[in-house]
Amino acid sequence: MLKLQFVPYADIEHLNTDERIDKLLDIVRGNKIVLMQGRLQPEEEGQLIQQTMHYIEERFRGIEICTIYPEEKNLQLLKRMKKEMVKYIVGNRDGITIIGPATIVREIKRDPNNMMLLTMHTINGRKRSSRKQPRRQHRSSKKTRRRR
Amino acid sequence: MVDKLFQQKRHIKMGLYGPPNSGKCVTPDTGIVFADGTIRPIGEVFASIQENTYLIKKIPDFTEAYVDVRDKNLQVLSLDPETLKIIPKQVALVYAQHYKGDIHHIRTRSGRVITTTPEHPLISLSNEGVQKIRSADLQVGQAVAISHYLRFDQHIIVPQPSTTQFVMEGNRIQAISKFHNPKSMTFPTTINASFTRFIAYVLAESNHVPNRIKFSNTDQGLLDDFLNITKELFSLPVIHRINKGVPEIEINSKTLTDYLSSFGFHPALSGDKIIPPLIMGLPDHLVVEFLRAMFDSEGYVADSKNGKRKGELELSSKSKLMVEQIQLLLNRFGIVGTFRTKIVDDVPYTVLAITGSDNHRIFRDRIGFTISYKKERLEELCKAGLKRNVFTLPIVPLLEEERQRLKTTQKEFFLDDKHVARMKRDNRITYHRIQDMAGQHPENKTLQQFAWADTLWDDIVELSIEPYDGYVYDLTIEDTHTFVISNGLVASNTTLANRICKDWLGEKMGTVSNIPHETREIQIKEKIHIKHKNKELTFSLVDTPGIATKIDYEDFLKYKMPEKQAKTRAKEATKGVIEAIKWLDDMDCVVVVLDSTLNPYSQVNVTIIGNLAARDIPVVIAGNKIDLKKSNVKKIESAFPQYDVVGISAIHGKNMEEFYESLFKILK
Repeated sequence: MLKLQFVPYADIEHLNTDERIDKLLDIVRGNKIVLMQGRLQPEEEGQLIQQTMHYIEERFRGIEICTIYPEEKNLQLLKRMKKEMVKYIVGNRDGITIIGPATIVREIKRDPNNMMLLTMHTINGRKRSSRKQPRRQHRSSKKTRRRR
Repeated sequence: MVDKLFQQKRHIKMGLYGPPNSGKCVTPDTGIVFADGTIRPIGEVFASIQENTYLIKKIPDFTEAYVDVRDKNLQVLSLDPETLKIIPKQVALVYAQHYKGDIHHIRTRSGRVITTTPEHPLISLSNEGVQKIRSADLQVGQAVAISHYLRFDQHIIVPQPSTTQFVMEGNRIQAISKFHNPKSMTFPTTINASFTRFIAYVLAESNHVPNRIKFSNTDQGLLDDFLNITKELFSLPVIHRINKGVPEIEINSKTLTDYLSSFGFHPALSGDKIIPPLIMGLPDHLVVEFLRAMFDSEGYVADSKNGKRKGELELSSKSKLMVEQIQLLLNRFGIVGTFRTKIVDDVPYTVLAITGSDNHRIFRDRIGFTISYKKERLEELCKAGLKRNVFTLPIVPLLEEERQRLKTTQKEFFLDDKHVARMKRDNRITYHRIQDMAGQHPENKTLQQFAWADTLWDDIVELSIEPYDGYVYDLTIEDTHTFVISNGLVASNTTLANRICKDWLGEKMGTVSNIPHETREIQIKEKIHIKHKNKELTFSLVDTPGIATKIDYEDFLKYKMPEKQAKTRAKEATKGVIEAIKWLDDMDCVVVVLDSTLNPYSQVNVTIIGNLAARDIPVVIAGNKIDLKKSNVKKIESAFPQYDVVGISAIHGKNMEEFYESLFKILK
């Protein structure tokens, strides 16, 4: 079962970089996938990776991260200025960032506006990856199917 | 734009992400076969160059060093992967690196062993054709190249005794020695059959110490021959003796042992004996005399039907290197044997076993025996029709494709109906069948290439990993990028991603590693010159560990690494990533090198590349290995549509001009 947690921009708006990263990583380390409104600053992304490296151990093996945001190249100058103003006042809420634990999310593919999340399990609960997962989950899912 | 770039004065730092710079070398004891027949351990080759190199001499505990030896006459035997011919090639660079990490032992079916770092490639044959495959990626059952035919630069050098060592009196010499009054002797003025046989007798059956040579054998013919040669060549008196029932001939002469040492034939214990370089480069007819005397005294011919070693023609010695040298000499005639070790009284002996009636027939026709019972037994082996299936080629699908292209029947192409199904099932075709097929299809280039190649293909039967801490060495041979080692295995010095570095530095740097995080430290190459369209630019190249968002110790387990070590490596890798990110801000440009034959997403995180762009760091993505069939640069382009993606083949230097163009474009 995949657990997704939505993090609205308002939740992290008032936090400084360290707090933001800690918040996001806490969720991911709890084996949940983060769906965050907006995106991190490039420096924050770098720091997120560095912090992730500090946390790596046997059960937490890192993250997969992907950001999708609207293309702004073709915007008219006036509109772009307007957008920059809004960004300045209320922060950059454009786009969406997905961060998942590497033990669950195998890889994230992105072709500009589509995102594909490849996870360790298929929908019917069978293992796709060769990586070992706790066997208990398997058995319970099979049993529930039989009961049904 | 390019002009503008060259005018700027600022110092440019370029980050190389993706291909970790890792050692891809062999251990110091690996014997390198030189074109004149000399075999020298690679560690010793480097040490001899090091002595003459001021810089390295000054820093004895260096971490890595390159020495350009293009101006020295260092010719090694090298396999051309295109033509599969072994040719002499000049060594361009000799490389040493302090390496701490895993080292791979690879053993083939014919008993050949090589110890290399995980990055060091060997030449392998598969359905994809001839490829260079890193040691860490090799698997049991894969076929690697060994020498079949070898030719050294043939020459006869007559050793001339120097006046510093000997007192010369006409055609006689006498060793200069404080402690003895050595006997004078005559010395050969030409290298003839007797001379080569004498060397063989001393190597095979003699006790060779600094002032005496003692030859013992039960065969009267050999004893007489040794006696006659001693008189004919050196005019020295001998002592006859029977020692524990075995007849012995002793030559007490310091002059003789000194004379032999003067051309590199030093006194040695049986485990350290080596064939002097002078013999290795002799013309075939003299090498035949040498090998015959060697096999006469040290060879053993087994029964064709009974016994553990049935059908084998053997030669064994305590000296592994000497047995390997004999195999190299037998390579002149296309005889390839297998190596194994036997233990006698707790002492390991290296055995060269020649099997298969076809090999025996070549031996009989080209070399032969003088001892009659060995001659008879060999004749039996030749008639026994013993098959030799040690060397096969795993290229049946490749040949089948060829057959379908030519639209011929199986019988016409494979010259057989019966065994084709089995050959397809096992993906094994014998070397002899390929030769027969090549004879029937003289126009077919694929068949001709494999049938008349200077290589055979030997299966890997054992792989093991051990920790290593010490110096490892490598050679750079331009164009062919391979060298033959003393047991006939062909090692490759591939420069994959480092063609970039090679072009810039005139030296190589590292290969794309499939083991994640092979490099865990930042390495900086200062003052790199790049030349493009007659202009030059100087910058620093920062080779960093690849930036990853995840590190899974189980990924290392796939490379047969022990769990504990895998966890330690994972921990080290996390530190490497943190370091690499810290360096990002200092970079003026980043080159991300990806393997175009693999899934781009599994090699680099999309966000990291986006992150570089968001920091206004120009990025070029180089899709390497475009020379391979599996390569798909379009896949990389579709994964990273916003960036400049250039397909290159670092190993062949393909498309480098285009790569440099895009580099200049982003550095504008």
